[in-house]
Amino acid sequence: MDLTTLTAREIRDKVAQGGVTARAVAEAHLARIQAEDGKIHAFLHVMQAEALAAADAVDAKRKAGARLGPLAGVPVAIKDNLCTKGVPTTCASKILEGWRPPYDATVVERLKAADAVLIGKTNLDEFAMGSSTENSAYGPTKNPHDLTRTPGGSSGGSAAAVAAGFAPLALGSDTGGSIRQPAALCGVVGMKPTYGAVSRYGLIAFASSLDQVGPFARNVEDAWELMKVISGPRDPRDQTSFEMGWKREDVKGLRIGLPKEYLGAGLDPACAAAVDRARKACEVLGMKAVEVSLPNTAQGIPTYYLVATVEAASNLARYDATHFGLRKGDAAHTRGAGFGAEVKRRIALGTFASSAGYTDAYYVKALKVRRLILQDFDAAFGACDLVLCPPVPAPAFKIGEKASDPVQMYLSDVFTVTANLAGIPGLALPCGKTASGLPLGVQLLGPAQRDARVLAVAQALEGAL
Amino acid sequence: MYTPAVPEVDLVHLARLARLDLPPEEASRLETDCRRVLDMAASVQKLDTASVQPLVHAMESVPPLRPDEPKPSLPREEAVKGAPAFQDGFFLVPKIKD
Repeated sequence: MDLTTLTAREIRDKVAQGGVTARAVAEAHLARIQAEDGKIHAFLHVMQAEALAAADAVDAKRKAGARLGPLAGVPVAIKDNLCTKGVPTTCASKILEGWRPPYDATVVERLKAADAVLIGKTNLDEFAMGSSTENSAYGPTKNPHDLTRTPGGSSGGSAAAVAAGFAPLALGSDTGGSIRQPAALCGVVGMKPTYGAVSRYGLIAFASSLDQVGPFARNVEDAWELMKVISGPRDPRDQTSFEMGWKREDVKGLRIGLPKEYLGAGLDPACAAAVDRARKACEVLGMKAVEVSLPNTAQGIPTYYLVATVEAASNLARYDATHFGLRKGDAAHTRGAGFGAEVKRRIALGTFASSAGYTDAYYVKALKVRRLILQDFDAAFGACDLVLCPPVPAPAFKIGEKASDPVQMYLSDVFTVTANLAGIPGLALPCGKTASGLPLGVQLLGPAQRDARVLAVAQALEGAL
Repeated sequence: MYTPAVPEVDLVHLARLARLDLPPEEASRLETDCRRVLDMAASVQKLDTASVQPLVHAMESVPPLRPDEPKPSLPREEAVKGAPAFQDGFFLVPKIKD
């Protein structure tokens, strides 16, 4: 039996029943990483010793007859912008090279409490700023479906790890699409929960009003299980967190909104066809497709890049060559040497948009348009229960194809950024492949705190597609 | 129609504000990139938002503050372990004045 092809649920059940040991599961995944990750580069740090020790602890717990957690023995890969106590956490930046956090992120604590086995830290665009994982200071990740293409980003390492069978589950973070876009390009499930549903304590901040931690999995049931573990009770260490309900909803009779602005010119025909297949499947499942309008969709990218960069310029001020991380002379020299080109670009833009004389024209203006985008969703969710749309305008692009043109790269997030600006949940679900074998996906967007509805429809669709 | 001009982006000034040492060619590249992104932002500036309130955060209701109760925190030696230089209870910084 190849243990790396099992779902998280299957692993958990087999470990709990004694059909397989957590150690055997961990060893199988570590062996696969050892054999295959040289060509994919999903991981920045493989937690070999920690994973085996955690697996042994799960096996000992079972032997002792203790109650096992909901992810007992399940390997989970962690994006390297989540703090892991004593384990290198770099944000794929030279400025944090060698830094070992003195504490665990809340989501990491919760995974450990659920008896999960943390298998390694995954690659990302530096400080989660990017859409291809090419901005990592430690080299790009490649798409397991085609090694000449990017896995998307910024959580490209986590998406590739799940797609390549290195772990059945992974955590990512999504500030403007950084879970959903790589999930779509790698053919796995990826979800950005409602803002506040998952604690951000220990997630290294990029844009605090947009950042959210979420799951990657190879099926919706596993993503749902991971969501339940990481959301949980309100975390007093993150003031914006809240406890979300998980009541299952019947999908029959739901109105599925198709936003006309997402389905027009510029959308790859294969991506449009995937949405059409999903629409038909929704109808077969007893849902009703309706057209909706999100008129400010095209404003999403410029609005996002003004809001996110202003927040980033402020958040990244903490890398001052004093409290942690790299020091090369004074703060300015350290930051000039330690940050990569995209991070500097965003710091410069955010500093500009929030500098004296320009704040009202750029940052405040973007915040006003942010409200218009939220109002668009409020109106759309009056006419439908869930939005069905493409997660990306085109399948996985070639490594290097957009690297020299920041605006082209930014536009690959055109269908994902609005959910972050509005704080609503979104999920990318695999939906077939192109003729050349590249994954296609669809995106489901729900009203705030209706994450269970998004997951329920995704699960029903997954079975029907 | 209102067509905003993309302003000059003074990268030397911005780099000073953001504490970023940039070689001249990198500063010039960043300046071009910033102007391109600001060009893209012109569409946002054309929208009529006179009656719209800024939305700083999608979660507009004020979350409750946690109880103001003292709790143990990380021991100091743990918290400062990642600092480039720390001695006798102080962060050491490069000399800034002769």
